[in-house]
Amino acid sequence: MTAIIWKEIRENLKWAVLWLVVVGLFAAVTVQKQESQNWQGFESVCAPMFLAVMTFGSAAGGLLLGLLQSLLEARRGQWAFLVHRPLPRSQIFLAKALGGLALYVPAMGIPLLGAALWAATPGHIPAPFDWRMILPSITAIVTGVVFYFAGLLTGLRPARWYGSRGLGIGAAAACALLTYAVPEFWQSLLVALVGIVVLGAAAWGSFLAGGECQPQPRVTRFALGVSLLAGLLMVGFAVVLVVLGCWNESGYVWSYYRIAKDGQILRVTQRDAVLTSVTDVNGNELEKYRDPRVRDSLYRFTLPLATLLPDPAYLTVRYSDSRRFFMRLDNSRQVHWYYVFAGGRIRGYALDTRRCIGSLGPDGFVPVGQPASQRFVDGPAGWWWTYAGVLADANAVYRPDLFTQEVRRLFTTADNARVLGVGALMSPSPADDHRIRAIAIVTRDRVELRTPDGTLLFSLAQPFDIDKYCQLQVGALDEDRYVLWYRPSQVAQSLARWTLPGYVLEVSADGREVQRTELPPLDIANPEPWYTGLWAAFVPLAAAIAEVAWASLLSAFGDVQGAVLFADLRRELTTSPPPFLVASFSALAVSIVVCTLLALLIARRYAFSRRARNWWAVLSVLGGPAAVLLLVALRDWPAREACPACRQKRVVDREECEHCGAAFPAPATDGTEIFER
Amino acid sequence: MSENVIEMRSLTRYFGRKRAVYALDLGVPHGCVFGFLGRNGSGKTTAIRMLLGLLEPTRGSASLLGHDSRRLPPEVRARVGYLAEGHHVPGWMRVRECGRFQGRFYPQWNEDVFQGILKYFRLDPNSRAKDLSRGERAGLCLALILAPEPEVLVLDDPALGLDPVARRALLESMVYVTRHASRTIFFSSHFVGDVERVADRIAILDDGQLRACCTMEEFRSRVRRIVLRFPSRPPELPAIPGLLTSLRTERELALTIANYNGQTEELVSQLGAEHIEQVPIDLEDTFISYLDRRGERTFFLQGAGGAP
Repeated sequence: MTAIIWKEIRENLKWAVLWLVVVGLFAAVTVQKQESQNWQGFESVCAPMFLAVMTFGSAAGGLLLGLLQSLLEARRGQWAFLVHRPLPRSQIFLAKALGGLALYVPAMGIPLLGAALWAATPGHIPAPFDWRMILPSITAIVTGVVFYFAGLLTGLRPARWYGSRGLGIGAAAACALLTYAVPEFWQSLLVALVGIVVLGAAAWGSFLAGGECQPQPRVTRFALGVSLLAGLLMVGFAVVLVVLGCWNESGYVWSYYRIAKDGQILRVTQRDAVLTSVTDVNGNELEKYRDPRVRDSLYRFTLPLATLLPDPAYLTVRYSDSRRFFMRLDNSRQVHWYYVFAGGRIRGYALDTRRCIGSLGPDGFVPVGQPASQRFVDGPAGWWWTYAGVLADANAVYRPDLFTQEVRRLFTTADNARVLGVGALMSPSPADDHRIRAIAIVTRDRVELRTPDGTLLFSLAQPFDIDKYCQLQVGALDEDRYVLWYRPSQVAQSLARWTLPGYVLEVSADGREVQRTELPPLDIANPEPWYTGLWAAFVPLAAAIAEVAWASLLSAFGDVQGAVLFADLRRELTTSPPPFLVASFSALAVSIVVCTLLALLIARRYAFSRRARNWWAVLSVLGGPAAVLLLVALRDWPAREACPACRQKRVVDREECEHCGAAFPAPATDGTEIFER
Repeated sequence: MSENVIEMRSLTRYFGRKRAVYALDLGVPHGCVFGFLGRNGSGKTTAIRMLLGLLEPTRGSASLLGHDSRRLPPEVRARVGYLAEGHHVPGWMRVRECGRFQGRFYPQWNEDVFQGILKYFRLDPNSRAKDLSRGERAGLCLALILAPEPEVLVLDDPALGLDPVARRALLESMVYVTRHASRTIFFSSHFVGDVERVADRIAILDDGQLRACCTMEEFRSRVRRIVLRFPSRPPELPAIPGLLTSLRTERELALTIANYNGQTEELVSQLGAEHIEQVPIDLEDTFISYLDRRGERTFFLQGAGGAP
């Protein structure tokens, strides 16, 4: 077996080295082009361009290597030279795959390791580095192995290039998309590993049977079926995207609330990018906003709000986002400041030397190399997209001055209550240089507003259940009036079937609630046209059943996301217009009937056994058009000949006629045959 | 275990709707040198690939050394040497590396045989396979399959594309190998002269169907060429069983007939010829008659002298 591994390595080494050089060059260029990217969360090896290089480099590298290893040897003589040797064919495949992977992993791993070492070395990138930042690239490399097996499978199967041959690549693409759809590294890795197992088994089976389907072991035939089905669904998905793109659906209408600077609640309706109407809460059009020019500059009339608590649904940070490890607070020209979660301190990086200059903590600035004595505990509390000059840890609020490199503790919460969120209300006047006018903090029980030096302005008991109303924004109408805007979370809203209202509370400077306005939930007024329901004809029934079953299962186990999914599905069913629902269900039903009949007809042409025909019928009911296409993709279209006994067409791969049981006739003779007497 | 080393039973293969091999029944006894003849595209390579388990039969089965070809165990493959059509070896390998690579799979690898054949073909061990001529590459491939001292040799058109000198060298090597009494050789070719020189038995495949399978002697003895001379224009031919070809000239009719027997002789004598003569026919002519299209040919030209 080692001889084959050696042969594969020796044979494809030049391609691997070439790929290593290409990927290495791109990785080197992209990891160094960091200065131009001021995007939060995409530093160093998490930069989008670098990840693109690793993702596409891995996919293309794996695919090309797999294709090279299989296509070049699929020619008759080469194939025979490879497989006609005293080794089980599985071992030959294993050796081939090990040889390929022994080239692929270094070709992608060395550029990654080089880039990571470079980024981790002080003096290169003015940002913190955490080794976990290479996890997305590791996922990309592991996903590249899925493409490698897809390449092997594609090279081994003798199907038509414009037919089902490339479906393995589609399956790998589907797997890659799934790895990007999940938030955690282990989930991505699991998805990629499943892809490796399925496509690896499919490639193995195809190798055993010289690319054909029928002679394969049952388990690899199943893997091949799954791979081709995934590829078909991926192709279908791509076609739908293209068609929808050409469709150019416009006229999407939705409504939302805004608070005007005078405290009036506005209900804004928008069609695509154009504001079409601005009304009050009750739907009465407001004269002031009739003029489209005024509507277009609505932001000038709306109140700036500080977000204390955003919707938790938006707070999921994927493992490929460097905000898992640190957050950039400031982009000054000289120093970049980052809150580093692991150290609980704010670290500064000089742009000229690209090195850390020191860190800020509750104990102030500590130059690099000196031990820091204090850290922010469990900070920063809450979340913010932009840093507004205040920072809270578990139960204290600080005002770090990044320019003077000082940290001032403003106050601690009463009874050491845990801070859930903090926000700064800025002065609207340019004359004030947009200084902080007040600081708002929210704990589980109270909302407090304080002056910038920490003096309490008011403290209000939470008027709503903070678990349900966990979106909170604060704004200042004038010196004496403030507004608190509570909105239910999407989860709570889904569970309540989108019936929960929002509330805007006007509060005086002494903490008295002056006015409370209820904001009814807004429907997204976009009834689906009936004909869009026809898409249901292409949706596998199994997918719909699986979604409902998954949601029910999760709900049954008390999972909130499952309950939300279930509630949303129910809402979709109950609020969709009847013509759309009728079109959807009719299209689905017709599709099931047509697909099942087609599958039965094709299975009959293949002369499948009754059991196999029934299986394919069931699969067609569940899989729809994809299952029918799978049936055709798995096997060659059957050759048939007229049976001399019953005159009916019979398949040629059975010893007896499926109609009359007659054997095939002996070859025709003309008396010239010479056989031994 | 059957006494036949190779057996094919109703072996059939379709490519799409095209029938490549149909109901092939064949047995190759132990120690035999078996020539597998046929025109290009007649199905020889397909049959060999099915025999070695490189291609799945559509119907029927084949066995090699008593094992079903679909599931040949590694130890059986170790006893079978296969030279594929085109003499493929990885071009980047040096001759020496090829031997080292192949030798690692066969515990019984005989380096002396390998070196002997390299020497016979005057191959430089440091040459890369891609730089070898076709003849040299054929020699290298032969060395690679002979060095493990296989019991069965399956050679798929080994002389294809070789010049006469290289063909002769290859043939001599094969003749040398046949001295090993327990070795069976199954080789396909369309060079009848080569087959005639070494084969004990032959099979002829035409358009995927087996047309002949017997010893060389029997094949020769059962095909005859009869020349009939007539006083005037030869008469129209009745249906003669076993008639392969007929060549008509002004006063002569040359018939090539398979399975010539008393009945055929009587039919021929009833044609009214003034002179009937059996002329010798060599294997190549027999083979060509066999695989050429059936029917009558004539050298008469419409309106030319002597033509009616």
